[in-house]
Amino acid sequence: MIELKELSLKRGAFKLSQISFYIKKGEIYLLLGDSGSGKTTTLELVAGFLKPDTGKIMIEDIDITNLPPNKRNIAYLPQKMSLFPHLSIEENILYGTKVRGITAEKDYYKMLVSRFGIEEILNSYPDAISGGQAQRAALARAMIVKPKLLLLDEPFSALHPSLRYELEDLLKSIVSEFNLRVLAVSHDIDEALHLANVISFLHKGSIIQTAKRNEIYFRPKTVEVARFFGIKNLFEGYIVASDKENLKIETVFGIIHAKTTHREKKLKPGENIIWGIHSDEVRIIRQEHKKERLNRLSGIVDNLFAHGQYWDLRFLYKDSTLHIKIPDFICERLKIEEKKAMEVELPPERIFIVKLD
Amino acid sequence: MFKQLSIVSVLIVAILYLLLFPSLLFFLDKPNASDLNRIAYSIVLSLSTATISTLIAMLIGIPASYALSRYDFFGKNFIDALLELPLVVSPLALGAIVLLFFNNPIGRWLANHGITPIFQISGIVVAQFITVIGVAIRMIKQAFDSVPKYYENVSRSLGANSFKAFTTVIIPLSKKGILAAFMVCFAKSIGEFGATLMIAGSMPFKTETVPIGIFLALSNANITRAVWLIVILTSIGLISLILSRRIIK
Repeated sequence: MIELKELSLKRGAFKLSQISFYIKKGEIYLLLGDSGSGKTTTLELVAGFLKPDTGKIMIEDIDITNLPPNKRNIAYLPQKMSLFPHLSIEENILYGTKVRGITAEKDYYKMLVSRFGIEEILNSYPDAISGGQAQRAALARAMIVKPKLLLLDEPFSALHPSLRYELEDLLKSIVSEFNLRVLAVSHDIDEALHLANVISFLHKGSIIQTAKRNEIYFRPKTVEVARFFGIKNLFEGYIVASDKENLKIETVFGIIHAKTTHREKKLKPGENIIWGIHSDEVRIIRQEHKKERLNRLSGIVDNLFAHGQYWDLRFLYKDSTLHIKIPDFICERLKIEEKKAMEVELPPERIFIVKLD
Repeated sequence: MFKQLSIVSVLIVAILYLLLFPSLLFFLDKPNASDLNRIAYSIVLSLSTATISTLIAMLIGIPASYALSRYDFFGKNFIDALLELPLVVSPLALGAIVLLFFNNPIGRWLANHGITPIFQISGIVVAQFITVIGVAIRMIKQAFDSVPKYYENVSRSLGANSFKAFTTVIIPLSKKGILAAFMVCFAKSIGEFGATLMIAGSMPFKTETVPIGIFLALSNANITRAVWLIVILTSIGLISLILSRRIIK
């Protein structure tokens, strides 16, 4: 296991505070956050390019905090194409073994080259290959030294989405095949949700929330996390009633019912909260559907904005607006038009609560 | 309109040089045996001292440039500004500073122990070195600055220590800049006059570099020798400039 224990670092006005987490074998751990949140600094601390003011970095119970980068056996893959331009692809891949003064295991080398599909470009130079091939070669180069941890600094963010997904899938299968540990950083929500097993959200140098990818996406813990994931439906409310399974919240939409998870168990009636729902989790109810449902709201379609294959629908209920994301074909099928009446449902299990401090 | 004006300015400068250099041909005569000997001595002396001073400038300039490019340390900005000094201060004044240094108590003590460049061939090397080291560091630092830090980080994470990362990644990637710096420093060393005159003096067949030779020849009204030395000096400078431009490309 790789563990970071309360790492802190102050550099000028920026402060990284008490960063702690651990990465298990076969896991992709991702630090998500805006630029300046401290994710790259954390990566540089783990790589050994920076020294923490306090805290420890442990690899399999060995303290590596004060070891130089070349003694850590942690391979680093930066954002830009990082292949050395003066070396051929083969020389690039074998660079790690050459500088360590060891000979690469032939079978392992051949297997890596074949697994990453770069047999054809071994004699080429980085300026003569595509971005995808370069990233595959860079991954092979990182793996030739059999690192204990792979550090990825937004490695695929500069690539075309289709190529990016392909490489992310390849990385995921490699991680599981070789039982690798990966620490990645990204500001890209899609990349994070597609790649990571566990996500930590960093904000102003502190970890705000750590959770499995679905949990952090569907149940953000703070307004910052929710806003980062693009959640526009955030509203104030207060708890009217709570039990082990359900919550009743007084809101601008009237009483809203929500399901209680382990996080909301401590909430008591009278407490002020922020609650929210993803715009693609709001369900549109057909007019003919008369079945009684919780959190059913009747209003009008205020505006419709096209976003590629989706529509951003502004649903007006009294004076409050709900943002709803609906696929193009549903918009067409339900004949949704601006200024027409519409009914929606907020599924209680999809409502998340952010407690006010 | 501005475009035309700017092009005309370039043409004026070009015409100025094109008028000046061919005018040397009017005075180009066959040198006598004695002049030939002195010219040959000056060329050999200039080439050898310039090679030595440029190599020393590279030897010190490469690590110094790396430190300025990559590390933060106390007094970095002050040292950085100090290195610009030889670019703005007259070489004559720089040479005079060295001359005066060897006349202060420390300098005299050094001279008493046989360490003095004053009126010596070593003085030519010192003079050339102090005038080119700033240029060398400036140019090499620029070359190092252009190599992204992540190449070095990747190299270190793959198992290279700082020196190996420097020799296997930084140096190869800034090779062109370093070679260009070498060529420019070499040409500047060959052409160095003011500091050499102050430190090494102008002794025929001893400290008579090509520029000192031109000075001595003109002082003795030996136009033929002076013109030959000017042509040689200009040719070396031009070749160095062309080579450094090609290297950078």
